This record gives sequence, structure tokens and C-alpha cells, in this order.
Amino acid sequence: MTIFSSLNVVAARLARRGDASAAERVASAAASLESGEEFAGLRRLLSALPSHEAERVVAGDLPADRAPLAEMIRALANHTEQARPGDIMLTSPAEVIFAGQIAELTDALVVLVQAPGSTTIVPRWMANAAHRDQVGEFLALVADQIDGASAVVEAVPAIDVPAARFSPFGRGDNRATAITADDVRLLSGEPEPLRILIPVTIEE
Amino acid sequence: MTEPEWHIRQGNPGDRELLRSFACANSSATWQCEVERYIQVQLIDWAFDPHAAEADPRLLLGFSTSGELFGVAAHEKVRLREGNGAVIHATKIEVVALAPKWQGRSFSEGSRISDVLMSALLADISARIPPRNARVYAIVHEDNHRSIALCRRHGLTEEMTRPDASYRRLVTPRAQSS
Repeated sequence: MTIFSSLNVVAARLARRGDASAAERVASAAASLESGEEFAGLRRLLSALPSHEAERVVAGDLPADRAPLAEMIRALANHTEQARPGDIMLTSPAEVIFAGQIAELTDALVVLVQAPGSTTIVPRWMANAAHRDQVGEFLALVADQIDGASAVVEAVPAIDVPAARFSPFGRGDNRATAITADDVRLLSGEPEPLRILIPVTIEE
Repeated sequence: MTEPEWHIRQGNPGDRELLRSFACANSSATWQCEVERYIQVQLIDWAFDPHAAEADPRLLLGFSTSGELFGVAAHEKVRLREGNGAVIHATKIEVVALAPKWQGRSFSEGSRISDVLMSALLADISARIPPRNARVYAIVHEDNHRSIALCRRHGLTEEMTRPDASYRRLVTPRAQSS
């Protein structure tokens, strides 16, 4: 079994869009992750499992008695998220991702809550297929629009990744550049010219 | 006209060792130590990352007439993104830091040293070609009262949502007529 960082997919999509510089940066981050201790640990833990069990893990079914493996996957997910380029939109209007936690179950449906007020309903058989059909579990839906009235929706197993500690420095934390609708309203219109209190010459 | 008691120059990759010895934290506050550590270890790589050239990162160093490095400042252009796809171009102040000896002091002609460094940063932003958007923001720890006051003196008077419970984002306002 060969495991790659999902950042390679991001890099390929950036390259396909003609953004060679960003693609190179993300591919480099992927190579860095894949050569790191966590990736080596993930390979080691997976290779120690019987192949059918390793395949279940890759499919999103994390056995409760495999805490080190779950921790390793969470750590990698965190670092992958930090390396994901926040300044580049990869999700096109025709592709929607809804990730949330299962809040309710019926025989036929699961209720998936992303945030208060942001809820969707998923057929239970889809959640089942993604090994996520219990209250409290995490599930993601990836929808690709086919035309104005139809889309393909894939249920993908998700895991809860605790938010990494915020850093205001560098380019690794998307929260530094993420804004809300309130921010957009605040920032709309022409900005005031910069206020330079003291004339300063800068030597190149 | 008297010569200024400072000079500001653009940083270069050869400044790595100089920055490695730069200190700006004068307390045990974690956020102060993080600023210092970032400048010492990562700022040069941030400024000269070939993959980030498009963001036009700029590193500025402030020296006294005796050649002592008193301050470090940096900025780059960014795209602020809202979840529904709205994009706003802005300049992020990456860091503004003074060595402890120079904090809270003024040059002999009366200019606060922090104002000189911040003025240099904003002058550099306004001189970039192609022109930057005049939306300039800084992420400041909520306990960093001096930096919050500095930002306000220099026109970062509005506040965006917080990226984290402990950090504030101060930004320049919209023009009165807008």
C-alpha cells in the first residue's frame, strides 16, 4: 500500500489551473510532509496491520483500539491543513463541500450539522457506506455539479481535527486571512489614504 | 537641516545572522517570545521565499547612527477571503518590533522611535509599484497594548473579526467620502 499526501492533489489542480508557482509551493509542502516523521509513523503503523484492516483505515474506519494511529492521522491532517494554501480558492462554484457532525439518526436519514443553523440531511445508506452512521461521528459531502439541476454527491468519512494553535506569523495559518461577511462590509469602499506621520527614506 | 538619527534599509538574505541575534522580548509573555523567535529563525526565509515573490514581501531594518539594529518591520500583500468567495486585496503587516533598549523612547529631535519604524513601513507600502491597496491590517495580541496604540496612531483604527480569541486584527478605515 502506498500513501501520498492529499496536498499532491491540490498541487495538481493548481498546475492544471496554470498557477505553476503555487503548485510548486504546495508540491514542496507535500514532499516535506511525506518525508517527515509523522508520515513515516503512519506508514509504520499501517504496515503493522493486516491488509484488510489497513484498507478499512484508509476507507475511514478507525478502530477504537488504535489510538496511536488516530492521533497520527489527526496530526497529519492538522499539518496538511496548515500547509494548504489559504490564498488560493480551489473549490469552484460547481463543487461544494459540506462537512459536519451527525446530530440525529432515523432509519432512513442522518442529520449532519456543520455549525448552528447550517444543517443538511443525508440518506443513511450513504453515511453507512462512509463508515459514519452514529451520532457524534463526522462526515463530509463532496458535491460536483453536473448541470443546473443535478450533481454527484459523495459521502466521505471525516475526522475531528482540533484547531491548531494560532500563529499570526508566516503564511501557514489560513485564519490570518480568513474574513467574514461582516468584515467584507467593513472593508468595502475606498480605503483612507495611509497616514505617514514621519517622512522616512528607505535605502534599497 | 539636521541628519536623522536613524536610517532604514531593505533587508537582504545576508542579514540572517544579524536577525538571529535580534532581541525584542523583554518579559516572559509567550506572545513576545514568539515574535522574537519568529524574527530570529523564520523571518529571512519568509522574506526571500522564491515561491512567495508574488506577494511582494518586504523586510525593513532600522539602524541607529552608530549602526545598531533598533527595529525590524515587514509586510506583504495578501488576499483576504470570505467563505462565500469574496476577495479583498490588502497588505498584512507581518511584524513590527523594537529592541528592548529602544522601546518607549524617542530620538533627540522628538520623534518616537516606534513612529519612525511604523512610518517607514507605511511609506514603503505606499511606494510599492504596482500600487498596493491601502487596506493595511495588523494582527496584534490583545495584551500588546503598545502595539495596539501604535497601530491606532498610524491609522489602523477599525477592527475586523478576531482570527483567534487572543489576537485582534486592526485595519485602516474606509475613506470618509466612500
